[in-house]
Amino acid sequence: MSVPYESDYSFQGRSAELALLCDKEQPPYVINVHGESGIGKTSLLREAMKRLRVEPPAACVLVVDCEALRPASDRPQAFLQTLAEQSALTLDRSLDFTNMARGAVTQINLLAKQQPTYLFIDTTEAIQDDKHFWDQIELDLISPLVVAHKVSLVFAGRMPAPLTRFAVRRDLRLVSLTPLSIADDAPAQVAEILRLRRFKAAGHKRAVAEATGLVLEFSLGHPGLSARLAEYLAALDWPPAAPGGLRKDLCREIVKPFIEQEFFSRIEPAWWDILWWASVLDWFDATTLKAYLQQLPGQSIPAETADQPDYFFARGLGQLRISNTVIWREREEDRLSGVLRDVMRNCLRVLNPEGYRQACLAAADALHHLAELYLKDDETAQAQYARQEADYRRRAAEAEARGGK
Amino acid sequence: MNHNQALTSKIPLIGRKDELAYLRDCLYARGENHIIYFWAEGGYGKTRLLEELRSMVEAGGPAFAFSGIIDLYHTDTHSNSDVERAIVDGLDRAGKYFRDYREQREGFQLLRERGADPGVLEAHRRDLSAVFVREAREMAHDMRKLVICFDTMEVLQYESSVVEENAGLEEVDTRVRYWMLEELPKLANVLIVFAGRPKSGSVDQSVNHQERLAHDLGKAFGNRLRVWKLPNLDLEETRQFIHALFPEDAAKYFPEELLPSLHRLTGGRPVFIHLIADLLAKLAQEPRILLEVFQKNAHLVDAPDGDPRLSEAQRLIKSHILGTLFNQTGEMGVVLSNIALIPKGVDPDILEAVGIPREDAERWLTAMEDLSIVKQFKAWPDVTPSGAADAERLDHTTRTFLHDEVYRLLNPSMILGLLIREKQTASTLIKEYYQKHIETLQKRIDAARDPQQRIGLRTQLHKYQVERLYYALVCNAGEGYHEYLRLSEEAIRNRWTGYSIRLLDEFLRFYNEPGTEEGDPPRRRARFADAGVTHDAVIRESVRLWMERFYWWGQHEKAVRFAAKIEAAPETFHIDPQRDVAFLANIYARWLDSAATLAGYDERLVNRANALIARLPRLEQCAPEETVAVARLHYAIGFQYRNGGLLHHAVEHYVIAKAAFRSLNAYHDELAILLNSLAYVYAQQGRMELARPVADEALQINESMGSDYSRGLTYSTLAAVYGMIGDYSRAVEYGQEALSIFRDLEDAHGSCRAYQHITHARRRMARRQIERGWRLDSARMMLDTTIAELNSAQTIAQEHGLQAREAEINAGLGRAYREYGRLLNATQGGLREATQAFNKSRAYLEEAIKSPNVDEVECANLLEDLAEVYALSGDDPQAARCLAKAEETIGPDYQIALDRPLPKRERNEYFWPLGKVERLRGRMALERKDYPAGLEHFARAYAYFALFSPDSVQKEAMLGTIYDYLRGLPLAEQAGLLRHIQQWGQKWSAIPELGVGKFLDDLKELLGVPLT
Repeated sequence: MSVPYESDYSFQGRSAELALLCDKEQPPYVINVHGESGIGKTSLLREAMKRLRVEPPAACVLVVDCEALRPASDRPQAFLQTLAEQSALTLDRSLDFTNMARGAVTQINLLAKQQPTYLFIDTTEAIQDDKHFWDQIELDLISPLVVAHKVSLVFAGRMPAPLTRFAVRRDLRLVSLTPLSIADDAPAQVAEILRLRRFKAAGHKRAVAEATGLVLEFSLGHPGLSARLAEYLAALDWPPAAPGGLRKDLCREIVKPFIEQEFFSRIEPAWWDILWWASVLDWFDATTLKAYLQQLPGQSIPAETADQPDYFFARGLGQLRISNTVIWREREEDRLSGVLRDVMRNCLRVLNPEGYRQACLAAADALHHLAELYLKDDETAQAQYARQEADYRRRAAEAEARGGK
Repeated sequence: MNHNQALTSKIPLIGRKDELAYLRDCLYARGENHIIYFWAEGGYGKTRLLEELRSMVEAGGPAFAFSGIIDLYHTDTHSNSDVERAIVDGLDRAGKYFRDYREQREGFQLLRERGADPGVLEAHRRDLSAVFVREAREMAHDMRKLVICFDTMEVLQYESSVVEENAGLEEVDTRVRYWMLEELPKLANVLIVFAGRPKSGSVDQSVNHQERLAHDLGKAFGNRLRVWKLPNLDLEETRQFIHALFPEDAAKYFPEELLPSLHRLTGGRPVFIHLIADLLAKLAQEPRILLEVFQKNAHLVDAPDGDPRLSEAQRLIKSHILGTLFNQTGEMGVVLSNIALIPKGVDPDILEAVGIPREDAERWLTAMEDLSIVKQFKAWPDVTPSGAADAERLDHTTRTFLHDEVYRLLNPSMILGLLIREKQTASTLIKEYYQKHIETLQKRIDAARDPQQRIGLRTQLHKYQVERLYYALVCNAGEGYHEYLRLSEEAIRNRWTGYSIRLLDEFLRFYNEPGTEEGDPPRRRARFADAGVTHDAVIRESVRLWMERFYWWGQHEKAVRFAAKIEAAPETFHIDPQRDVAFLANIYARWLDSAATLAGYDERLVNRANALIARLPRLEQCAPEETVAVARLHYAIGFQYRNGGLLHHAVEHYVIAKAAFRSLNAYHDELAILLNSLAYVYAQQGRMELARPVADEALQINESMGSDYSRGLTYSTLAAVYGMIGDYSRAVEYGQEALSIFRDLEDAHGSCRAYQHITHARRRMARRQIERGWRLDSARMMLDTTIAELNSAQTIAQEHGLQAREAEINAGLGRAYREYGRLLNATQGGLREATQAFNKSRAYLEEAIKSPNVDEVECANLLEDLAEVYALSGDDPQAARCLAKAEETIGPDYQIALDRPLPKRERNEYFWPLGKVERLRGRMALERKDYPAGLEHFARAYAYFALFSPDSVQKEAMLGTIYDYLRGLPLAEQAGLLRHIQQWGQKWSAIPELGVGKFLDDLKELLGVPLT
């Protein structure tokens, strides 16, 4: 199972999700937990697993990490093997996969008669595109388990697992993990990390509050990012010598690399820059994004767009939405998913205040240009665009007034 | 043609037992006619029912013929000729029955492409319809049943009721609805099924279109019609539907206890039920949520219709469907959201144009085929092309569409980002797809010399133009609207009737697209208003375009009737008589033109037109639309004057019109028409030095525009002009050019006219030679040829029922035989033959006189001709009686007498035959050597010709005749005659309007005899 962060931190928040996962009174369920990288999916599963195994009646929790299956030449087999190793299943390797899986299902169902049994399948995004794997696993293993209704299944990944069979989807519940609550869970997490990491000013409430505030200013409750930021601050003297410089350091040393490592590593490099700038926008589509980028000083549109004007953006946004969940769609408009937009925007504002200001102006100009081009015959739409344009200009003015603080 | 090979047969047909039973009964009732109109809101399964009918027909075997489901939504079937073709291609795929129709249709298309006269096209269209009916009946005789299906009938109901009612559009026989109601009832052994949804009227419509259509169908088909409202599925049928979609354990997919809620919230509409099934079974990531909506609203099952909670729940369901469809279906959602913005359908080419690589596009389109909301259309999948034109026309592309209800769900006006995307997609499509295809096709059309080649290319071009128009309207309503006007004008004046109606329907469908909720205004209207195109302006332009259609398509009676209604109540059409002067001037122009074509000169109309002209600015101060109005109105007034023989006034107005058209540097076709007419008038006035260059200019314009018909007209005009000049050889040459063109165009009118010009010139050549005693053999041959050609013309006129032309040709034959008699009389020993010729001449002329198509002017002319025959035969008393009768025919009000008031001037053309009467009297007097009487008569003749036109050619020609008679007289006698006529003429000279003084002066000069 992937363990992105130190496992000695206590688990914070997620009470509703834990209640859902750990309620042994409820009938077996099928849940798909999803959310961006570092939001705490694996932590949630780990915590749930712990509670399920410890709290009576002790449950049997079988875990498969899809990341570990990735190198395997026969992933369905490897899946079964992983299960077998955890639960002493007997697999008749002389059989084909279907029959082997049938045997495994029977044994798991038998197991479930003796104790609550759960199957956690983590990091599904690692092999999201392996249609053959999912078809086979779903047909021969997951669907029969769901139909038998004795075992609860939890999938976890950056995007929902590609489950197609109605028998599986029928009872599926999608649980989208959001950042921890800024009011309580997120500060509690930060405070704990500062304490465990021996923050030099840990005894001073105010310092802890300041440090916590600083962490949450940039993490917005994202657990993974909060942890990194808290660990960084814990190692520093407090109060910092140059608070303005500290904020830049945090962005440069922690936030930016975190974003690029956790979210962008599987994205085409051409998109990295674009996504940073896209964080300035509240929403966009292929047309708006392209128009905005064209307004940015010094920004060049990738050459691929030369003869297929929007396809680069249309296809790219589509893929990001489907495969990476960096982008999600609300009411036919796209935006960077979850808290990612605001995290990136904050970071951009701190690291490149002038660039941020210019970007706000570029956004305003782009909307203005689009309204002129396309909305001449629609006063209502023009008015809406004008309001949004005014909002971006106001942000640019605020950025100027802040002067990069 | 089978427009709809839609794969909606994947929807199981549930219920509809009564409908199917009835259809089956009708299908197997050999020899009977049944007409059924199924109607219901969208998504009730109308098309599915038609598909089931198709299956029934196929199961019945080859003894049944099926037209295919002709979907009127498609751009290919918006005119009656398109619909006929669609039915023919569908019923008779093997090409066994409609041979005549197909052959004639090719000919018709060729004529249309070559620019034949609208009257000719109209006659052909009617013939085609008649052939269609005949051959359909023949086919029906051999078959157990013919089955014809029309879907999407609501597209027939779009024009504003104001314009429709007042323009008499229900009678416009190019429109599909009119054709259906006129021609389909004539078929035999046929089952005709219509399907459509009731068109919801917009707030400004006074007519309930659904009721109107049902009423019209009832009127056309009588008690053979059954109007059948398709009900929604009831609860049990809904259950069966779900069970049919999920044959194995339906409850697993949709719990039984939720079926009532499903039924209530979807209104029992199959499209939504099936879509929900697709989402549950295949697409939605979390089907549970959809089911929860039904669960939560289960308590509304018994809520009454109109309950706001029920409406809200139904709206919520639609919202969920939309959200699931486009956001939760992975890549499919991306594709669907693209397709939803391209309602004219997609194929790999189109998706590539909007930036999706071809292999991706092909893959996705294939993946979507199974969805219930996806339709595909293949046009003419199995029909063998019947000719080169068909090969171009046949479109084998499959286009993918979504069900109408899905397009309706996606409302860009609700979602701001979607609005821009819709426009961006439309803009990209125009630039990357349509413009390229249109330019390529236009180049190929311009390069194609053979009109046959152009036909198929032009069909494709028009299809693309209509679709492009839709996207242009999406991009910018105002600019799109002006594009619509531009394309429509081009279509109308080129007489591409089907294309013109398709453009009209496309625009109206966009303009009248219903709002999101019942009672909302049309959802796109505000965009037009925002772009400065008010509803009033749309109505006005619609009126103008219909006048243009009536005018250019030769429907002059309709033009006159409609114009009169506009004049009587302009406010009905949102026309302000004070503000919209230029607009009214355009309407008036067409009115005058059509009225002149039908009934000749009308002084009242001309006076009103002149009053309207006075309200327009001077030409140099006119805005462009005012300049057009000035040009057209002056032309129309001139045309009226020309018809009334007021040539001088005609020229005045034509010259202004010419300047106006030139300043526009547009409307070259109208300029050419004007120049033709002006040349003819100049020729009638004897101003040949002006007639020739003007006619040449018209010819150049027509040649550059490539319109054969217009070239033919100009050649005809040139033949007439040169005939009047006296350059008969050239007149014959031009006449033959015109004849060749009109023969190719199968234009009977044009051919007859050309023959008349040719024979007139030949006859005059012969007469000249006879009178001078030159080359009498050649004169005889010319007369032989003349008579043969006139007989050919007569055959054409009789075959085509051109009774007016028959009379004219009889007159021509009468005159030709007269010259023949004159010739034979002049040669020794030909007296008996001369008598025979004169007898024939009299017979033809009397036949012509009897014709009801001959007006009083022509009747008087013919009586004068007849008198000449009698005179040549030596029967002066009979000649005198004919001449007196000619005068009687015209009446006393136009006759010159010193003891009477001056003659009326309303109908100048009356003076022409009166002049000829006096001229013949003069000749007869001179012949019997009664010179004083002869001169008196010639002086009167001169006065009449002067009244006809100050520049009339005939005035001067008489002097030559007189000179021939008098030059041999002794000088003293000549002088005596001149004194006599001078004295006689004194009283006449006191009336300058009669112009006798000039005659006397010219005569004096000609004779050169001094008077003492």
